[in-house]
Amino acid sequence: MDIKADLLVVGGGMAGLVAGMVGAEAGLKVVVLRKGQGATAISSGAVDIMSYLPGANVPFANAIEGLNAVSEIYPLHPYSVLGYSDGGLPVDPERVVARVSEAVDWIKGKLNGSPSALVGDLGRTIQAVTLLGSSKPTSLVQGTMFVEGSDDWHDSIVLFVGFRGFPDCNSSITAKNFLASRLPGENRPRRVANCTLDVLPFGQPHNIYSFDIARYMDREEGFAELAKTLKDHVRSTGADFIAFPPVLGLRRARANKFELEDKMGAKVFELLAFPPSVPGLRLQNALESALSTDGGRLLIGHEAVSFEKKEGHVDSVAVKTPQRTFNIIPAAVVLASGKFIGGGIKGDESGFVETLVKLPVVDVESYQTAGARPQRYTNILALSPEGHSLFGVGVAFDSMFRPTGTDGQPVADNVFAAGSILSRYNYSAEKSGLGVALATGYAAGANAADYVKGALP
Amino acid sequence: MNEYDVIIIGGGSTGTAVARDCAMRGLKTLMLERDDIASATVGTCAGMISSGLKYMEEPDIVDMCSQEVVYFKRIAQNIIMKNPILTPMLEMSDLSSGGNFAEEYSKRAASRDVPPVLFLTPEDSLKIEPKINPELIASMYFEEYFIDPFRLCILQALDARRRGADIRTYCEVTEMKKTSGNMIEVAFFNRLTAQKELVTAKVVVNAGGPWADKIAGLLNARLEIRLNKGAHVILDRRVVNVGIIAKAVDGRMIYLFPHENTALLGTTALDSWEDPDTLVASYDEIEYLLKSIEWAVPSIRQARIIRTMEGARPLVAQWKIPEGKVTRGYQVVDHAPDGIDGLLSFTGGKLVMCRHMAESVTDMVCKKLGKDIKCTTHIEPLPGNEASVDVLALAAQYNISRHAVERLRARRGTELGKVLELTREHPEWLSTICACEPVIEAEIRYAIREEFPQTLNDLRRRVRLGTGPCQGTLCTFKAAGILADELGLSGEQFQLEILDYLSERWKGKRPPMRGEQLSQEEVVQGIYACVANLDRSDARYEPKPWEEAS
Repeated sequence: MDIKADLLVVGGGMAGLVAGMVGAEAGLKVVVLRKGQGATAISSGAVDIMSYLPGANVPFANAIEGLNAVSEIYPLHPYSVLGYSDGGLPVDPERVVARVSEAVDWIKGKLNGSPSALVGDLGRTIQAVTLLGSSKPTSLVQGTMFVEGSDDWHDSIVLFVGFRGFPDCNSSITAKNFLASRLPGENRPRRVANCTLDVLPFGQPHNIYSFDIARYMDREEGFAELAKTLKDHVRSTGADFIAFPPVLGLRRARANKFELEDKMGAKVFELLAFPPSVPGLRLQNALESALSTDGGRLLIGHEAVSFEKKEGHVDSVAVKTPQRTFNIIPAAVVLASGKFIGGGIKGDESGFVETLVKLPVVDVESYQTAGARPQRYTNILALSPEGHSLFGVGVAFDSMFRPTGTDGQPVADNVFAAGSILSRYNYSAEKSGLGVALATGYAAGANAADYVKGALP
Repeated sequence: MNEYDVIIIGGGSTGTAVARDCAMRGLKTLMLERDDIASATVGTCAGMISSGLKYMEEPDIVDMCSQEVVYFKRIAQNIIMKNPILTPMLEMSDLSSGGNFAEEYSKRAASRDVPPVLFLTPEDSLKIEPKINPELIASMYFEEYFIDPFRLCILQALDARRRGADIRTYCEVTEMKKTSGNMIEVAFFNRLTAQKELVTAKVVVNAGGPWADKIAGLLNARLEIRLNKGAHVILDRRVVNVGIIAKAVDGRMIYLFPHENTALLGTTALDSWEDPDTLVASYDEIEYLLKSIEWAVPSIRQARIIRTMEGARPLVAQWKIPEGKVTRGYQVVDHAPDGIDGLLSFTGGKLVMCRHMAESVTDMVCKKLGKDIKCTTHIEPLPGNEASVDVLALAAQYNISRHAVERLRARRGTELGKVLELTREHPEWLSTICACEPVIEAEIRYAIREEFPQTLNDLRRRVRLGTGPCQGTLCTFKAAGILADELGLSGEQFQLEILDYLSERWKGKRPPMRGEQLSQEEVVQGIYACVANLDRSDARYEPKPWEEAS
């Protein structure tokens, strides 16, 4: 059994689903393969665009400043490539900002009305509060994670909520660290407080996971019970803001937030999540259902395992599930299989390789990595503003986001790439992961659609 | 100024054993450790309490080691385990070396409750361990005992403390001098209070391990050690059912032992002049071990390497012979002939001998103090090791997984009851904090309250927090929160604990970084850098010695 598709997308995270949606919107028959859950589903659920220059301690004032700096300093960065005109340098920073902005507006439209609807724009940095109480500058967060006034806590009382038997969130130290991370006078709340709620989704007060609470909150009884328990704490602390661990629900998260605000008379927001991440899965689910609304087809548990290429053209990709193996005959392919978490790139003592097409892998500075040990791309410090260039290795690509070989030429006329499989940027140090996935998925999907329609320049 | 009968410098396996022995004999005892209990050499060993057969050329040592194993079975029943070992023989020349060993081993087998050496056919060998090279000619089967080296040291220290000894961690000895009253005055810097303190004693026992020469030097006493470094590669699970011993590329013997929930591949042995604080495994050492074990276990490279560890052995200073020919015995150097009466220093020794070393040095201490008190360290069990534990019954009683209780038992023996008792009032402390091991919140709280850890790294040594395949990815921040609760840490200290712990884990993870470990590390960076933004933390992080060295 072979399946024909105009566009085959390998990888069902942010980059792949965006590329698939763009293809579907252009009228293509789209198939997206998702092997398992990738980095998007375990992400914090916030969409970073460009928060820091690697090595720098001070964040950009906003994403526009970040994109301008990248265009200037890293002309080969995936963002910069969006600013090429007629297929090459120099980079037009305004074009970069315009194209990223277009993708951001587009995705906000796509997710509008979903539980993970996004808030924010390129002109403003949101200082999101994390599960540890630290702050992280980002550009787009889910509505449940946002409150107006969160850039100025001045003179407010912030209540941090925890749950008994839910060890992922220690509301006491989160509150303490939140306060410690803010200098006196500057946006500093008047007081922080914390409370521990007693809700028992399964009747036992231990080993409660974020998804247990989120599913509990998706049920009306669960939500009502929680609201009742919380009320006393809000009253006794006089809280203006209530910081929740990211568990407000998978389906009802937005409704829960607004209803809670109404009932408590205080602003409610979710902290940034670590895996296993409820907001990450919310985002994943919303993207998947948007793809399906657009008429794209998502095959879950399907892995692309090999391909056939004739005369510089990939004309068949073998797909495997636990039950069967079959071929997809695509007009165009977008590789969005991620980096190490997704499985798009692997590395061992003999160097790095892209796993499906066996594309050569380059480092952030475009040097070939064949034969280089992964350790070479690590920093002696575990965490530092420079990060590890390990997370900047990936496939090289041309101005159309077609992966290129060692000769700098596209390996196939109909293959495109998007997201963290791409090299030449270090998302971890930049805080640009889902942003690059979005912008390059958007561009690669459009390029693939143009290719299929014979409109690619 | 506090006056002691004896001050022990160093809180490794030897120092804690000496503290326990001195305390048991009623001496007024102080033990000073610069970092934490078991934070240097002993923390990087495989935990084998060897019957000593590797040292067949030194029969006295084989006798001593075998006898010590018998004592450990008596005093440490819950923290030791018996592992079967196979030595696959791949060439005819391997066969010839086995016979002599088998004879020596079997002579002492019965007393240790192990069978005599068996020679197995390839078929029988493969039944026991399907992962060994099917081309083998035969294999030798025997059994050895292993101990949790961290728990051994902690329990020795706790036992000493319960018997009246002062156990001080994070206290670094900075100066020593003889007083007019023939005492030794010891000045140390307490890193927890940032204060200098002074104490005196009639006798000082130098159990400084790789730093023993420097400690002796504080009194201008001459002590030479032959520093020898060794690396282990740690795999993410028990990739073999039984221990494997095989010949390395250079003819030395190396091993692959299942250990706790991981497997240890080791070890290298290289003469070293490096600062022991900065030791990190090198790529050469990692590949030496992998290449060497590959003959015996051909699929080894498919396993996921989670980290390496590197330690320094303070060997007896015998020179111009290969490391393997240096005695595995120990020496106690009495510096009296050099005019420094009251200072006793150790060189050499093995983990299995630590109690014996303590007994002989404590005999000398007693003699110097003019006392005659008998040693009982080989008779009286360590805390929690007086009886066996009914794991199944406790698991049912406290509604907790048998696996979790069994792991608790292996660390604390009968004292696990005190941990489980905490969950009566706080059932939420049954939550699993480190899923790899597993470690429940109650054990972490108990260890913080009773076993004087100051940092997450100290907690790791006490409860094996973050030592499994995820290397602390998901437990670091949770455990840091608990530590912050119990010790009342500030927000900045909480961040520093996380940074410190990640940095210590990274030290071991970085050298062998490859394969599946790359995606694990991508998750670590995702959590702590991307989301938590700790890569831009303002907390005043002090670089570690190995970070400064580069």
